[in-house]
Amino acid sequence: MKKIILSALLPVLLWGTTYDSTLLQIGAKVFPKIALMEKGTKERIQKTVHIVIVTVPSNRQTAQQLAEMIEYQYHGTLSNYSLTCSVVSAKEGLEIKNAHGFILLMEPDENILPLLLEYAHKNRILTFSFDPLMLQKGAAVSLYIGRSVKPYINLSILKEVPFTFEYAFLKLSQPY
Amino acid sequence: MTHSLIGKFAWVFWLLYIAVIAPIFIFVQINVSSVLYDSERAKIELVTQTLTPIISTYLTFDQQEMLSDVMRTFFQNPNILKVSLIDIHQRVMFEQHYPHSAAQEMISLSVPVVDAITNQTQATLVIRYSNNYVHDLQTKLLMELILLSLFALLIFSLTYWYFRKQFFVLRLLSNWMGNYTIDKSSQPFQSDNTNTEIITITSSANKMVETIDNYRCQMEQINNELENRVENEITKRREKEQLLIHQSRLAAMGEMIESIAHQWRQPLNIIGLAVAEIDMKRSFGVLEEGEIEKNNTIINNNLAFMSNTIDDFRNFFNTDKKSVHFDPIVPIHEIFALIGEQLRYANITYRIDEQCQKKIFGVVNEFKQVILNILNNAKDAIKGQHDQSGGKIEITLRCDADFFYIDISDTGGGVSPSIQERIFDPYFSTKLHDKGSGIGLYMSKVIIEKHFEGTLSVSNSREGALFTLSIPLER
Repeated sequence: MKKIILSALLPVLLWGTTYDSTLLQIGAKVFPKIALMEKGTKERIQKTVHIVIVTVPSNRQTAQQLAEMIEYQYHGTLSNYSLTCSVVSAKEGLEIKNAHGFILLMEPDENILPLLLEYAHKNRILTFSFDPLMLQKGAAVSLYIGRSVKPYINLSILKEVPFTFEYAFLKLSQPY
Repeated sequence: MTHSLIGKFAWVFWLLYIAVIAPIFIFVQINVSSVLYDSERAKIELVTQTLTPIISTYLTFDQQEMLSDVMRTFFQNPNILKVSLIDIHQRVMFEQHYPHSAAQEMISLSVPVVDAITNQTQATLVIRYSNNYVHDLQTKLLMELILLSLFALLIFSLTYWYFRKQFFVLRLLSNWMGNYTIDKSSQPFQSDNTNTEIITITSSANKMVETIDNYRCQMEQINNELENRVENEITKRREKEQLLIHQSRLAAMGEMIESIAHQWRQPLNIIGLAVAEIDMKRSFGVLEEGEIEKNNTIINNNLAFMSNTIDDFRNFFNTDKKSVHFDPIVPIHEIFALIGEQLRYANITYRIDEQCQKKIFGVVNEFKQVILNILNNAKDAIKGQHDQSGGKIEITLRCDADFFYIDISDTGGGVSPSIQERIFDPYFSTKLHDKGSGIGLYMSKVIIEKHFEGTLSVSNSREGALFTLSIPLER
């Protein structure tokens, strides 16, 4: 019932400047794990998994909330690595080094989004979004809200970069 | 244990069959079972290891349908009877039985589902499976072995029956050959068996028997011929022996007549002188009664002597062939009584040394004939020396525990070594043609060896020949 209500309200919620906390919790839970499921990303990890939340000023509070959720979910440890999560602006994101995932908390029509996506793909950084429209713009992973919440993956980006995921993940994901 | 070739083949076949099948079955029962158990567990563990990360992923993303799909894939292994997924709070997240599973002995395998990213246990996967298929496999194998054995038994029985039937003719052939005797002809062995080997054997047996029959006929003919020839030879030999005996007797008679002539010469002379004295005194008229009576006595005595000589001659040549135990000295003295005058005339002395007084067994007249032959030869040999001083004949009678020995030696010069081996041959003589027939010593040897079961041998002494008669005492 909760999922049905969430499914009905999610487009409205996403269009707004606030994100549903449940949705954020799901994202906080799955996005770091998805980052570790990508083979290239896992190989690049040395000691710390660095998840960067790229946001705009209007979503800054939400981003901070998401960062806290991630911290609460994993307590700074993901697998055998330490996990850090930072909140940056889009401009700052273009200068981030050694990031393993960008969680994009911004609107699809942000002008800086293409640059940010290009930078991420160039550095093989997975990009996550709560808005499926972001996939259209070039994000790699989003959340699909159907009868259940599933990862939404951009196959063209996965092939282009490329990103390599485990079979089980690809099987349960919804391709875009 | 049978002694037939086919029977032995049957034993060997079954022993080999048991030797091969039994170890295989035991090996399958003992070793393969555990291997299959381990193999099945390894297969299930492998599947579990493969599916556990997927299950973990689906648990992470809370994908119940996909989780159910994955869990159902376990049942593609028909030995997996039940699959459960229990969360960390011991609540059953998923549980499914194999649709057709019955209540069977199950083995449980629990595998924790660990999130590879967080290393947290998400749930416990419990798989229950059965190894009944191993028992089924063993039962199936046993049934196949039994079927294989029955099939082998059937094949073997048919083969055994067929070859027994084929080889039965050999038993008939064996009986036929066993009943075959060389005393009678038999019909050839008949068989309707068309096998090349059997035909070869039966034809060989028939040919062999035919050959034996032919040889038997030839042998019978040869035996008959040999019997006839032997019979003829025996008849001829008997006739020859009779002739020899007759000749020997005639020769002995000649010798005896000469002895008689010598014996009679003195009494005839005495009788003649007595008659002349009577006749002369009667013509002068001085014949007295006493003279007549004295000369009459002389004449009667000499006539009696001559009559005794004739009796001795007749006794010597009588045909009495009765074997008796006798003292050999008696006939030896009788011989010397007959030929004593001849010996004296030839200036030959004789001496008899009787060291043994035992008796021998045989025909007395044949013994006399032997002694007479040897003494005549001794006399002729001594006379042949042309030595006017005469000669000497010695006879020694001796014996030991088993034999009676009679040694007759003379001073006639002996027998030349070159003819020693031949002097007992028939018709062999060193005398002039009109003096000897050559059968005396031959007959003597025959008589001693065949009738007295002894031996007659000759050797040379210092002055002449030494004939030795060895005659067994116990007969």
